[in-house]
Amino acid sequence: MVTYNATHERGCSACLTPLNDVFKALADASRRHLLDCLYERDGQTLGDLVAGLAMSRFGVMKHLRVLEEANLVVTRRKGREKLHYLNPMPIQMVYDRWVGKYRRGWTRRLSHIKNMLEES
Amino acid sequence: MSDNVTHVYEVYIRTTPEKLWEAITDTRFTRQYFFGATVDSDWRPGAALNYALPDGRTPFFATIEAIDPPRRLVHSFRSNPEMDGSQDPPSRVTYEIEPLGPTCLLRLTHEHFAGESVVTKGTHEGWQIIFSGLKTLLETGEPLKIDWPDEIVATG
Repeated sequence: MVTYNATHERGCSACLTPLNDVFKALADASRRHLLDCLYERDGQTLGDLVAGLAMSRFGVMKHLRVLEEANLVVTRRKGREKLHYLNPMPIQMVYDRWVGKYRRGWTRRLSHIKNMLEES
Repeated sequence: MSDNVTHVYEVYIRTTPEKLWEAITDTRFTRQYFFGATVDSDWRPGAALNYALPDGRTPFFATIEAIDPPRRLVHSFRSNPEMDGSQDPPSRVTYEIEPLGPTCLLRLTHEHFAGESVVTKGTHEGWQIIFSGLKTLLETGEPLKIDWPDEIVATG
């Protein structure tokens, strides 16, 4: 869970997730792989994630903590289970800041075409 | 494995819970970030929650299940099959607003009950656009300038 942090990057308009944390979290292949796992199936327990990876339980916990600090992963309790969800918003913010705004429509159309071509 | 597909979206917005609530429930705001849609409701449990896109179409049908201004709103969500051809049973959307000093955490949980579908994919993309637009609107007073992608508007 992200707590209030006044050191966020200027221009980040109090997003409370310093962009440095987002980029640092994304800079590691294992953490990107964890995000891929959650993208495939959202809401997994630590045990689910460990079972699908060639990584120790401790390693997965450590990487999840970094992802949570960057707000890329958020957790919800369901009974006794703690479920992990991919929060797409920080990446959306990065996208809006550097890619989106006026060009979004075109970029998305192009990525849509790319997906169609790759699926065909 | 269950057919439930739940997605959670968390975004921090520099605003008050009251302003955030107003932005979620007042047409003057929703038109500026919710794909141009107006919103209308009696804002009580059991009341219909009606969104209308600029072309008059309804992106989804919703009924309020629980409401606690300015902290929590739960509504059912059934995508309009005329727009995306979907036949998914109603899903559930929960907004939660948590004040954190000068900022609010807005958390939206969308629980689907029929597995992956055009609805889960469309809403997953849609909520991201809606909440980045909402954040920009509340923090800068200006709507996020977006050339709305046709295929996203089409799938609501």
